[in-house]
Amino acid sequence: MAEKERKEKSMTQPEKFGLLEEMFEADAGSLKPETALDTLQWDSMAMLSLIALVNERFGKRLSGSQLKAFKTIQDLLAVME
Amino acid sequence: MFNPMNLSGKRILVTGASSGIGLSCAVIAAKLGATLMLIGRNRDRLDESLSKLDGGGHIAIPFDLSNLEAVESLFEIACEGGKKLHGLVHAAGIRPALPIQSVSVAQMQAVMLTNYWAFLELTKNFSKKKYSAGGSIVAISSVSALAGWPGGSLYCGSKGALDASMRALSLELVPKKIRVNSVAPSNIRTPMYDVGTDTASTDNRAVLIAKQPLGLGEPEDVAQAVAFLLSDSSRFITGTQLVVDGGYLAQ
Repeated sequence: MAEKERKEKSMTQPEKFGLLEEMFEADAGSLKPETALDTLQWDSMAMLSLIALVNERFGKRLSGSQLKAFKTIQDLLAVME
Repeated sequence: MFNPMNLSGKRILVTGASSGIGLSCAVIAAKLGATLMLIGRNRDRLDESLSKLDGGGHIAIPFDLSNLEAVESLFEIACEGGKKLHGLVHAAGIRPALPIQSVSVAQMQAVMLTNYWAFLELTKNFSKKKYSAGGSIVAISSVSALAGWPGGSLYCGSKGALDASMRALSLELVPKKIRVNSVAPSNIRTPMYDVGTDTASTDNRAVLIAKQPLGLGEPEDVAQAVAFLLSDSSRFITGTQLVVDGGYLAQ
């Protein structure tokens, strides 16, 4: 587990974008750090997907208040470590 | 005084007894005179549950139900010295909320294992002649077996499977004088509910409660229905799902 966490912490930026593109079903390269979430399908199902992704890959539990504060892709990248 | 829900003299095994509905089932059953065998993963939390029970003779058996192959060991401990069980309550369960695209095979297996396969393995052992001579089995199902919600594919499916098997087993176990039923709660004030609503659906907490004409249920509301199904008052009831939902499904 500890090893897995170390490995996931070293995830590169392109890998993180890959995960988010898959989650949002967005075209490769279409997401930018400044992309506003309200231009995407950022609904309750997407939030549940993000919770699962961050929990599974980074061992963190996102709270409801954190989720509501997210505005851009950069905010999501920031919790993916 | 006549108490139609009297459980004195009955030995009842409860899974998920560390918190929530399982714990409440144990507390109510003990108040009604039963002797409890509490199953949960954590020894300290089970000991805390034990301290909340009226009466004596209760035991706690720390056990992780994901160890399906070893479920019989629970019954060996619970029935030490040739004592038999009279009731089984499967309250252990997990409730993931996951869009289908986020569902992994590991999660599919984990949900079915705890919510469903464990029930089969528990029932298999409970119904062995050496562990019971008749009795009542109650599975904690959910209104999710009857009504869906987005993100609930795993949970709803596991509870639907539970109810389908409950009906089959109720027929199969008639010759053994074992009744099998389930109780289907809606949203109840438990740790599971707290975790489930502290997410994307935080705003939905009020919406969820609004869908229940009688408001948010308490664990005792479910436990009292379970106690009824464990008691001899329900001797003519088998193979049914008792909905305890504050009116959720009536709409």
